[in-house]
Amino acid sequence: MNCSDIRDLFNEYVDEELSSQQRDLVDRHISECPSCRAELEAIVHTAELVRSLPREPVPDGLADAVQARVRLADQRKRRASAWRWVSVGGWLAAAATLALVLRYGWFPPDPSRPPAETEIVITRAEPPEKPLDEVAPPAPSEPEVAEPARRPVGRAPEREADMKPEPDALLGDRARRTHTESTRLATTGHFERRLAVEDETLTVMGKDRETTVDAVRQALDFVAEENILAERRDGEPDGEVTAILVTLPRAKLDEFRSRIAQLGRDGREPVLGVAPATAERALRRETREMESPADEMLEDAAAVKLPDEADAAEVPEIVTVRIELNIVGLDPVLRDTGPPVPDPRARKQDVPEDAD
Amino acid sequence: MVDPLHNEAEIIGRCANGDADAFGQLVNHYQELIYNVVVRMLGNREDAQDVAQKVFLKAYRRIETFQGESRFGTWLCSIAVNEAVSERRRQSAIRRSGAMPLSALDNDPDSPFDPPADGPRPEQPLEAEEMMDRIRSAIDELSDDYRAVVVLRDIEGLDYKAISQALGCSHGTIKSRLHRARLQLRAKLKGLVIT
Repeated sequence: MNCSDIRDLFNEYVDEELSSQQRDLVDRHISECPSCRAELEAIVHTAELVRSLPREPVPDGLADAVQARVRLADQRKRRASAWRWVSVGGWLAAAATLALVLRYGWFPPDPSRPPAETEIVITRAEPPEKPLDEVAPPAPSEPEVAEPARRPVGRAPEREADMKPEPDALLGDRARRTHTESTRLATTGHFERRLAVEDETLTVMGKDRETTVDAVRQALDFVAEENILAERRDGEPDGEVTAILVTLPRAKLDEFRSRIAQLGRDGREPVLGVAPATAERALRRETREMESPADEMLEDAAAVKLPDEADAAEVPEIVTVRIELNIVGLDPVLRDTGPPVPDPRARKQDVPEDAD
Repeated sequence: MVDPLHNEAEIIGRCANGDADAFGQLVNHYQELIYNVVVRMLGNREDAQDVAQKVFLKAYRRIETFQGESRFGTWLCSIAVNEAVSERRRQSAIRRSGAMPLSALDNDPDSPFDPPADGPRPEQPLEAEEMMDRIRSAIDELSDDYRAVVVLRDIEGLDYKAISQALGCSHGTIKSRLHRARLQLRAKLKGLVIT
């Protein structure tokens, strides 16, 4: 064998991968060839340098952290399979059921009183259909058809006045992006109360879907199982989770926000940042409103330079998981309803859409 | 390479049936191996802890696919290399996008390798520490393929057969990659002498 053939065997020689016959061949050759011996010594030296690196000590708690994630994954897997059947329709039904339970729990029916109508108003915020700058302001000549303005996220409607259109110019066009669903239920008693359901969608950005979803699930640990209504997947039933639907009592809102704002701040979490949904974020920038310290934390998280939707297409490695939150609260103020209130939607239908 | 547990096949079977405690035994046994593979593949201790957790979580979720054709440690190394390479690519994509990972805010951006949490080790001579830094940097600068063979062979001591199982490559490919990786390392580490 010539020098080239022998040198082809050097790495395997160093790594003890040669047969004894091949090893003898190399030994004999290098004993007679100084240049090949020098070449072999260089390879040995390089390997020894790499092998001289000290072992890295395992950080405390690694095994415990793995165990915690494994158990959480098991728990979530069971929960997801139990709740997979629940749909968005089921979520709305649950909200209506909650209203009825609260209604009868606080004021049991009084058979001595004549039946009357009680109105339960469900106010749901809708995402804007057009960009903010394309949305026309409300028609000033038709103030009575304007629908309830969207309240800043996270604040309960405490008075009926809160449900009416706000004259504030900041909120003028927001009123057009909400709608009110009225449901009339025949009950006993002359009282009205309101069940307000507000929608809020947050976008959590992470490095990969699996671990981002896990992080969101961990952040939602404090929410009772029955309030995590569904996980949306792209392709049932084994697709990747793209959104988690949660119904949250308003009293838990601050805790929710605090936990979500912490996502991505722990270096061990695989989350890059949290931001309100695009429309909501734009709205907040426009109004410059800050509702609470938790809101500021959310804004801070959103301010971290993250790719927008357009950029995300160029960086496919960044995944997003949406949390679709439905904040449920019952207006504590009761009042005599008096005569039935006309349905504002019926009145709106009378107004031509292109009316000036 | 870490020797397998004496009743490893039975433990793996229990894990496949959802026994998280059994999986804990595997984690305790292999965590040192996997953490070191991940640290050397990433060149970063902070991210290594998270990636190592992901490796074990992924192994747990896919353990029923482990057929015993290789050693369990080799199978874990395969997941570890893939996860580490994915993580490096994600970080690279984030850097290209101009965004900064939140975990990077607390780190020194100039340091390719973060100091250990317990601070510098003053008892070690500076020259030795500098030499280790140069070796780490040289490994870090290799391509993913070359770095993987160097880490699995020279740092973790896997034989060629195990490396080819872990990386899904032929014996010849492993041999070729190792040869080229060592040539590059030799050029980068020229003049260094083990003290």
